[in-house]
Amino acid sequence: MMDSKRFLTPIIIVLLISSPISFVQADDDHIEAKRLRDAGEILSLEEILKHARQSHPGKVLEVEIEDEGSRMIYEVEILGDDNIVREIIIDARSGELISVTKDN
Amino acid sequence: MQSIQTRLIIGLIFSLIIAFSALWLLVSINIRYVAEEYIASRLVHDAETLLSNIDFDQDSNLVIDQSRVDLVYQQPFSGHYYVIKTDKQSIRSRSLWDYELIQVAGNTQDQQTTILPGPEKQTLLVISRSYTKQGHTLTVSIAEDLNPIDKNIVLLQYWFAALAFGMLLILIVVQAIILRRSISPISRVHTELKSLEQGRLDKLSTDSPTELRPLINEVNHLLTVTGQRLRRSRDALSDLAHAIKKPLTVIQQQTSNSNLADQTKNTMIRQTDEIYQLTDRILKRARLAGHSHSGALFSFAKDLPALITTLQMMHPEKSIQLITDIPGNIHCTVDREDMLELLGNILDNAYKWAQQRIILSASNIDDSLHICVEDDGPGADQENISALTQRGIRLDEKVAGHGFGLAIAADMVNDYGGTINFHRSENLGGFRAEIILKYAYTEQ
Repeated sequence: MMDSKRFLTPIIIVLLISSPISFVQADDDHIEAKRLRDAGEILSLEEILKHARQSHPGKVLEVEIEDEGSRMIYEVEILGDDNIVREIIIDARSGELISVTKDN
Repeated sequence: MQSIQTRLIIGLIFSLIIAFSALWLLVSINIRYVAEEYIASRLVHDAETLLSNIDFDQDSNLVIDQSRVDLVYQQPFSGHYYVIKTDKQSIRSRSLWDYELIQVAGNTQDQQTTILPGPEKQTLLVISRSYTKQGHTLTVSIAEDLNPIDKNIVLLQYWFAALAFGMLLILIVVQAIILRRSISPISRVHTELKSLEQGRLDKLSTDSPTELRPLINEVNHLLTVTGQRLRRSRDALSDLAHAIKKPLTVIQQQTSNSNLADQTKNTMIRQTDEIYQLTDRILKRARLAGHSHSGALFSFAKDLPALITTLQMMHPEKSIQLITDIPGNIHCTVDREDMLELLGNILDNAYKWAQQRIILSASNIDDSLHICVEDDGPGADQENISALTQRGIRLDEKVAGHGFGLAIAADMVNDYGGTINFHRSENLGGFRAEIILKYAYTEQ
């Protein structure tokens, strides 16, 4: 764990500096998520999804993590058993459900 | 002992269960193997695609052209993952998100296949292999979730088990039908043997499966041999009885004419009388039996007229009216020869004493056969009647006349476990003999 952290941190820094921001967010957000999770700042995606599925069972289509400044949030797109796609926003630290919106 | 049918069915069930279980196991293992092989080949293909999209920049950092990698590797926890390791980097697919796939050890030139736990209880088939590209060594581990396939395999196992069970039932039913059909000749032989015992048949039918034919031929042969032997010994006995009569008469005459002491003379005469009566009985029996198949049952309809004719021939000096009161469907399970001797003796006695009329009646009451013979003769007094029912008095001279034949009859009824009673006839005023024979006794 310590080893990977030591390796990963410079890589992320390098990537953040050398690459356009949008690219980082699209493809490498999982690296940031892992870093935060390893640092104990957010819950693991497994736990987040467990929370999300409790109220909205279905298939996970997409996951995004966003920094809102005051808190980290997970945006989870779930295809429900009723064939409706919902975007569920969850507090990444507490796993608390913030909001649910139906995608148009 | 268990029946052949039960044993065959049980054997069949066991062997079929073993066969189907083995088949089920084989199919289950194989289908899983085939599925894993198929997934593995696809994973290798994906790993090669990944490899072709890998580049190293000036700083020897690994860069992947994500636009050409399948989107399932982007979707978090999609079930499709990869991890690429170089000396200084470890790149995980976005689909793994924050999940740490336990790394497969070592740089291996050979392909390594392992099963590892994945996120959200997935079971991952992981294929790892080391490659060298642009002078850099890298290990690509690529994984796919097996759960969807496992679900299908479990479903297939259920279906296969259900199908096998259905087949098992059908096979057992079909086998049972075949068995019943092949065993039916044995049941038929069984019924035939019963008929044989009751005298309705004199031979077993030879129209049977080859497996049974030797047995049937043997039984038939045995029947012929015993029949012949029986007839020969009966003939010999009757010849002997016949031959003994003449010397006996001579002995009797010589004894009465001799000047022996009176006591000796009487003893001699009595003894020779006994022998005379015995031979008489044998001859009568032989005459009544005729030449029929032994073991046949007595039939009132078939055998009685012949018996009456014989009796009338034995008593030509009398013209006696014999009235029979016998229902047409009367059931009789007594051996023909035994019944001829029994009825013959009782009727003979009645003929001897009757003046004009004899009534013979028979009926089935409950589970037994009732026979009653009455005559209009002088009858017997109470003392003699009670003497008759005692055993072992058949040659007692005190009941001479009524005694001998009736005593034989009483003996025979006894042998059959029946009862015989003698009374005075209410209808005709003479002698009345009543016999009760149970059916079941003869069938033992």
